[in-house]
Amino acid sequence: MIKAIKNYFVQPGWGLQLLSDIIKILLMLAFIFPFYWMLVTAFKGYTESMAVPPTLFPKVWTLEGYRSTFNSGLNILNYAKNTVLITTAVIALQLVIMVPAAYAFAKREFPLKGLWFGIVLVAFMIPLQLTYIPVYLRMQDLNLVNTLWPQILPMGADAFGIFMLRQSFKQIPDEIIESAKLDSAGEIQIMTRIMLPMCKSAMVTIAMFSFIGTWNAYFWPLVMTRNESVRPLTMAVEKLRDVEMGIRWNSLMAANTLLVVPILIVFIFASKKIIEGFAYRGMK
Amino acid sequence: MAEIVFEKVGKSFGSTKVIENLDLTIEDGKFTVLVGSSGCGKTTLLRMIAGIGPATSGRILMDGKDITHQPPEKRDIAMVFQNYAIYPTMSVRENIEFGLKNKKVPKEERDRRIAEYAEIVGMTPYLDRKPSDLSGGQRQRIALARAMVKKPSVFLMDEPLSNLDAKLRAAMRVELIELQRRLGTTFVYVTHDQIEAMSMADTIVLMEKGQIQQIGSPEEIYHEPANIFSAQFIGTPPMNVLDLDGGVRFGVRPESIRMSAERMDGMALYRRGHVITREMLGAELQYKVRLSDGKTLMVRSENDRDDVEESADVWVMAPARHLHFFDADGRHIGHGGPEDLLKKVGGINE
Repeated sequence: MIKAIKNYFVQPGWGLQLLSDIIKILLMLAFIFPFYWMLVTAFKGYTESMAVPPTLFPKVWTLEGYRSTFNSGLNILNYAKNTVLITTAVIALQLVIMVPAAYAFAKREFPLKGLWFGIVLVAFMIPLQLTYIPVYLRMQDLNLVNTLWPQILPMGADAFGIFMLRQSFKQIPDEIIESAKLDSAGEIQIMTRIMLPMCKSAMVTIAMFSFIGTWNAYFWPLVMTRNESVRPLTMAVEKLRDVEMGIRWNSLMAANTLLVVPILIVFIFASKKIIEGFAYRGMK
Repeated sequence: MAEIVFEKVGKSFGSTKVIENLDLTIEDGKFTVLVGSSGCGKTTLLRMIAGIGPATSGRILMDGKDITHQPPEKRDIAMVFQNYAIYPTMSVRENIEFGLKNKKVPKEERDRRIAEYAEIVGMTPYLDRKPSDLSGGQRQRIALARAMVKKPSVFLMDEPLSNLDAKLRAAMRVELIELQRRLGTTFVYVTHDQIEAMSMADTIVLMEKGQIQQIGSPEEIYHEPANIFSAQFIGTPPMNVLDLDGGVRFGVRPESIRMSAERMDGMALYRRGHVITREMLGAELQYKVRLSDGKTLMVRSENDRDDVEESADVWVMAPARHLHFFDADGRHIGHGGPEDLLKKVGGINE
């Protein structure tokens, strides 16, 4: 340890290095602090959470915040169940739809391919807000408003994801596919044994974006549902803000940790995969 | 074992015709090399045999059976690609095993064959590695093992050595020749490198602009070029070609030319020349010589034969049997004759 510190200060240009390291640490703290604040507040008692000046570290650790979240009269588990259901369904649906679409755009020839891909790109460019009303009306026609479906179906294909996956498929040399054909592999095998493993990083990245986007969705479920029983966790958190007079910060933060921790876990797991994915260098 | 026959085969990409009306027989059990400059259609032919770039007209027969429209997996072939086309996410073993698994070869048989062919290509210690950990030469060996393990009746190779460095390429060339002799399988090998073609082939198929210029053994192509293209494609440096009258031309290989300060007897070609450059290549010397009429020739000579200085004025000479004559269309008329043409070559007869 002492040796490491000694070595640090004899390396050439250690002054600049130190400055750059300090800046990095400060930036890191700036990013971490909100998470830290959320976590510790969730474990504070009600009075401590309201105290001025605020305490950086809880004097008393308590689960009061979590208890009051679950006792707030809101069926937190049902909200959580909805969020998990919606998110899983969206990711599954996206993979089923986007993988073949991207593959076809990248590696197959079919009539009007350019035009179809153009349409996908246009979908990518249209602001989401413009689609709210037409999608709502369509869902109403189908009698699906106020169910889980309008929170899943419209997210089933994502233009950005198709675009990104297509780029990723395109980078795979045709010879590898031809070689697989000569190795008697069918389309499904080529896809599952060769193409998808080679595009793992793109897949994980897209799935992660979808996961975060869907998990955190607030406005879309708000518009598409009226009934609490089909709403996701984000709506419950919002609801906690106005259950009682004034905001119970510890309880709100407890709910927020419930919302955020799965994302953090997924991110930590996925970022490892992404690095793994990128570490694979294109082969000659 | 398989013989491949092309019958009036054509291929076009959109409106561009790459190959038209091509007839070719690739003999069973022989090492056939398709050689030509890039864009000559050699790879297109190979892809037709593989079934990954079907012919647009004509028929392709394998052992008499029409395979023109048969999908690749139904053909008894294996192919090695220029970039090897190794599956990067699979281990060496999985790469070699993939084709066998798809063909539902039983596990014990698969393991036996993998062990056998990994040994042949010297990859046994690397079976559980990922291709990204291996060198270009090793990846090349995986590609070879992956092709061999299927025991195909035809091996197709698309410039498999062109990504290797010169030393490794020379070594792999010898290994491939050995391999072909050992397996006795039909090999069809595509390259743009005439040295590869000459050194490996039983039969060379020389192509240009989608047409076959000449088919023959390396000896035939070197000694009896069918036309000027063929004469100039094979050999380094290419054959020197000079004009005679009436559009008739004659050629002489750089290594057939003699140079000396003294005029030698018994030659058919005599010219005066001035040595512009002299390159020492080891066992050989290579010269660029300007003739008195301004034309330049390349000359190649063993060290201990004709060694002349740079800027020297010399006699440039060649015996009759090494002179090749071509008609106005570039077709080979003969070498060492006919007599009337030979007389015209003569040049300076002092």
